[in-house]
Amino acid sequence: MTRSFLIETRNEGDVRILALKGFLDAHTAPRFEAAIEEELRGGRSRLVMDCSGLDYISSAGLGVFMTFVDEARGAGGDIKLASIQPKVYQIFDVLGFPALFDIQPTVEEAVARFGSAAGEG
Amino acid sequence: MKRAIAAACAAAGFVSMWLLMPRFDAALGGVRPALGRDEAIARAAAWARAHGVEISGWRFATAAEVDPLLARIRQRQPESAVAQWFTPVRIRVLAFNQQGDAVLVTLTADGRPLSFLDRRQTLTGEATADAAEQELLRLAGGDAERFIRTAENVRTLEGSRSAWEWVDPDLKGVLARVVVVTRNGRVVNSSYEFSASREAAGEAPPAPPRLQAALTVLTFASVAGIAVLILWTLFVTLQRRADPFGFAVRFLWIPAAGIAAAFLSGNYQNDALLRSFEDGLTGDSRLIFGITLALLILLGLFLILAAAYAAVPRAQMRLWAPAVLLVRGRWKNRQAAEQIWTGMAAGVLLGAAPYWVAQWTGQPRVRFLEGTNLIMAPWPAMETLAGLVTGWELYLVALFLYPWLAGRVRKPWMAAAAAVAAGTLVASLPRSAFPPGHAANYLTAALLTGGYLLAYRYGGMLGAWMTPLGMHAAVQGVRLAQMPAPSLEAAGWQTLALAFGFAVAALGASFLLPEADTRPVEAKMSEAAAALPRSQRERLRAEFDVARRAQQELLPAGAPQIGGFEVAAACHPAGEVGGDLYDYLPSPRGRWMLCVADVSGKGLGAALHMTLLKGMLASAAHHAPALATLASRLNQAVAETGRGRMFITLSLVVLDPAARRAEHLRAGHNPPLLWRAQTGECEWRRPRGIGLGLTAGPAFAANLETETIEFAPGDMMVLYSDGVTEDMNPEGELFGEQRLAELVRRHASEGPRRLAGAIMEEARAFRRESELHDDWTLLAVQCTSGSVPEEEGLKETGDKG
Repeated sequence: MTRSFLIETRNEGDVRILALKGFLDAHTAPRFEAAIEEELRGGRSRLVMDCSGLDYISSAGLGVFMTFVDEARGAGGDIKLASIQPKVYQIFDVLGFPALFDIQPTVEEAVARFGSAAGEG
Repeated sequence: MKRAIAAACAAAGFVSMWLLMPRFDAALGGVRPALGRDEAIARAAAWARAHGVEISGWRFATAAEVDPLLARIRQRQPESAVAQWFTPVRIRVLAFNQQGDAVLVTLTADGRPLSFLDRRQTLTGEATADAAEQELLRLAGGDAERFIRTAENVRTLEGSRSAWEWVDPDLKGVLARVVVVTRNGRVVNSSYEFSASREAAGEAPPAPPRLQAALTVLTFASVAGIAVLILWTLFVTLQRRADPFGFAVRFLWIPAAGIAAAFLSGNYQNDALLRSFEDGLTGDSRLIFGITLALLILLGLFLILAAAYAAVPRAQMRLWAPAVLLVRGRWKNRQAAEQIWTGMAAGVLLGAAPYWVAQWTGQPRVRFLEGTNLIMAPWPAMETLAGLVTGWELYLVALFLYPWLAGRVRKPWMAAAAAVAAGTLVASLPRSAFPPGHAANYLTAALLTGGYLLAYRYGGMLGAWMTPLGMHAAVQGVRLAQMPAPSLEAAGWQTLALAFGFAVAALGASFLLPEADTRPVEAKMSEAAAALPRSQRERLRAEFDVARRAQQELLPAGAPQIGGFEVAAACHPAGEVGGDLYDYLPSPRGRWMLCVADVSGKGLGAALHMTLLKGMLASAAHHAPALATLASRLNQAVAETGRGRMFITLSLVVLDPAARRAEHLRAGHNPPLLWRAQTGECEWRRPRGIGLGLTAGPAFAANLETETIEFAPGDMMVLYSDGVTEDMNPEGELFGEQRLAELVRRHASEGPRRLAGAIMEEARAFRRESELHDDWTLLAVQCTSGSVPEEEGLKETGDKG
């Protein structure tokens, strides 16, 4: 089954916001990976993932976050997650992501966290 | 702006056609059928009666046809007797009845008889000895004595054949011939026909044989090439699992509606009937013939559409998006209406192309519409469709070849040039839509192909689809306006009205309807089109085969015997190489280590990590360290080898059967389910824990909990991978934890083996035709009241550790 996955990017100050929409699974993860890689290569390491439109995430999708979080943190930024739907949050939660990632209820709060603390880990 | 440009194109096309058409469409010499349908039938009946056949009360099919050779002779020698006698337009009347009798009569445009064909089941009527001679007198009238008999009662399968010939002294190279076949003294087949030499017909000398051969080879190669390309694309897309067939199936309603309309209006049957008669069939075969033809047309369109849809490169998806929206039932959108308008306007402009070419190259005439069945047809629906079909080469090029090329050739102009060249070849060579004169043919074909490409480029897929409709309507419209038909019945005005109404509706809709968001459609299309290149995929597949076999070796062959407990597992890998692992490992002091793990991702990497994990677990089972220590070591190893690119979730249970107790650790894995026999209820066990390999830092150990589970007799613990709960049905609904818990509640008392089977069965029923999209693994362990379990259903297995 193929399902759509879309990424929309925008800036909020020096924070880059990636709004994820649809299904992030093994089929669509490579596109997500490419998108984050592009941000990091472009020197944008302060990333907030707006997950309000994310309907599903598989292990391959979760792997993408893991792949780049250290790099983002090494470059002085972070990958923060925001406004995750309860269903999707459950998946993050089962895996133990809350202990590893900064997860915020809204994008605004996630952006604000970049102001107060320059990333974690 | 775009709409205005399209309107300007249409106006330019219409005006130039209006100015040029009378000059070039003189081929018919102004001849129109002088009879309406009823009158033609009456003449045919009288003619049949003269042969002793009564056809009143039969059913009729009528058509008017153009004979291009006669048209040319008439234009060259309008005063000659042959040209006067044979009109370039001929009327055909086919009469048939329920008994399977059929009679075909051909008349000149003004109603004089040209031929008679009697195909009755039993011959009745008066027999005369000199039937053939009488027939000559009837057909040739006062000219009969100018004929020389060339055949006299030659016996043929059909009957006795007689023939007369008359060489027109005015016209060198033109031969008129009357052929009469009689059987038992009755005329069964007679015709007044003629033939002309190439010079007399004003045809250009044939191309040298070598050139002809070369052109034939070239034509054949290009047509075959495109056909192979289509088949190959279809084959490849089947492997890609994109959905071109679904699109093509949904799109077919558009031509299917046209065919249905043609059937209902009777026009199509008319056409099919005459054609089937020529093939020696009558009666109900006409319907079967018609349906077969319609199905073949649909099949051809289906293949082209499916292949084209599969070949659309990413950059052109927006051109197809309105068509995709349309077939999904979202027809109320501005883009689709705009494309239809653009395509129809482009068609009007393209309709004028043959006339321009004729003007530039000094060609004497243009015969653009093939045949003129419209003149007599009651409803022109089929002709409109025929426009789509007769131009199939151009469709092939515009809708399939060009998109395919554009996805592979870097420079757009190169793709366009290649497509125009191919279109010119396949459109101009095998067809004789124009009088000989290769240059004009090629030029027109190139113009038409280029025009189609532009219609596609600016009007999208729907635009290219609509172009022939505009083309036919414009040609027909100008024709009707300039050369009015003798009766309303003989008009083709319905095409014009239909097309004009359609164009106006499309234009209006392009202003009024809301703009649709086509991005999701494009995203979906690009997803469907995304696939690895072929060679790479084949190489990977070979590697996957090795990995899959190795992986299957990793799973235990059967369930072990554990005193006081019973275990069972089910595993169903999705796709080539999965990432799920389950195992039972004996530990010191009679303990058993049970685990279900899920390695992130798929493919070789996942398989290798499974192997690694299996080895580490086996070693750990042997040394039996504390669970937390074991987990931290595993985490370290996975984090180092995976380098943050992969992780493993794991549920690990160390079972002490003697104590009916288990220690449980959950490293980011789905929480296992514990069914209590006493209450019949389920509880989810979710101690804290992060997936292995997600972090090499202290966060892993800091977030790790282990728990102890006490088993009462009958209690059942179910470990599973996320493939179970995230199983998806065609509607996109997840199997979910609640469904799983419900099944455990219902079947737990039947034992682990049956429970696993029941859940697997239920999952299959839930999934229906959907594919399993993730590995599906489930392991159940039940405390069987402390006694040694029954032998039934349990297999001994070698020690895997």
